[in-house]
Amino acid sequence: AVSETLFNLLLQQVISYVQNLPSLPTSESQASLIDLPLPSSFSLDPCNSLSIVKYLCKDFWSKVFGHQITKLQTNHRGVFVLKDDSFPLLADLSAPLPPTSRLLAILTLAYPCGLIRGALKGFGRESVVSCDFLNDGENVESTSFNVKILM
Amino acid sequence: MSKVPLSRTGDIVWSRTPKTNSELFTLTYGVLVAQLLRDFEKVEEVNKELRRMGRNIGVRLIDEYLSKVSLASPTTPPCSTFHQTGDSIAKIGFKMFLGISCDISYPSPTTFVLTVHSNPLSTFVEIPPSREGLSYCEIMNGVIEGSLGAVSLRVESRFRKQIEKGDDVTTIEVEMMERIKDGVGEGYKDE
Repeated sequence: AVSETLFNLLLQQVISYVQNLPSLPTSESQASLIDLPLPSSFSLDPCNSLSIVKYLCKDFWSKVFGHQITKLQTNHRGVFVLKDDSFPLLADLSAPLPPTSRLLAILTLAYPCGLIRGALKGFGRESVVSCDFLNDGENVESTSFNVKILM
Repeated sequence: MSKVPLSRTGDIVWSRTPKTNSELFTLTYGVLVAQLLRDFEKVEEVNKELRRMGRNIGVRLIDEYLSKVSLASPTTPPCSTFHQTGDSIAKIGFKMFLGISCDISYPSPTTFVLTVHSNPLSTFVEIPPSREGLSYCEIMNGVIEGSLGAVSLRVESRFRKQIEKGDDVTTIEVEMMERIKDGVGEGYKDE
């Protein structure tokens, strides 16, 4: 393990690097900056997307962020909504957000989007991941990720 | 001298530190370096950029260091010699941020050498021959320079050996260039 502060500072440097690029990349390429293909080391049903997403919500999220996804919803046709009520990377922000912090939060959230996409790629699934935050307008840490798995 | 050994203070601070998965940290740093290699033409520029980022991180880490250490061990006196500064980095600094402690030696009064046996930054890393000039962990030099710069010590930090280049350990040589007179840094040190 390493210190959380150190990790957050590293992430801030990544974000400010992306911000200062001559042409601001689209949200898609921001995410791909930090795509992490993480191979799994155990067996699960590789044909079943739901079991893969469940793995992401439980084991993967616990390992990376220290807790499980709060709520998982799906339409059983490749679209998943992963809701996290206390997403740690946003814990230092306070509501209501000024516009500058809003931009920062959106850039920060490109990172977990990339993580999810990279992890799914590790299972051979291409996906589009987007993120909503400030679901209830008050709890800044509350985020949800919309994951669409492309068949 | 303080009665509490520095390594003990390091352990105390580490046990109280909120932690993050180190593989996540390692891989995130890895993709950052990989992206920089794509964005910059020369590896020298990548090294420079990593060092710059390290400095930015260092100036903030020192705040965390000073506040946490003074809480964990209020009796620890401020470093009075450059070698004590090195001891504090080796036994407390590395421990509280990376979870490792490193060995230290003192070739001269204005120099110390840190020996890192396993470097969490470069756990999965091998440098291909085509990128030989890349100093993969250059950010560490930046962190050391940035953090000591914030407490009025202008130092130069450089690698002597690097595990990812085939050496058995990573060694970082830190040389004091000057003690910056008159600056906000003094205020931080007198507690």
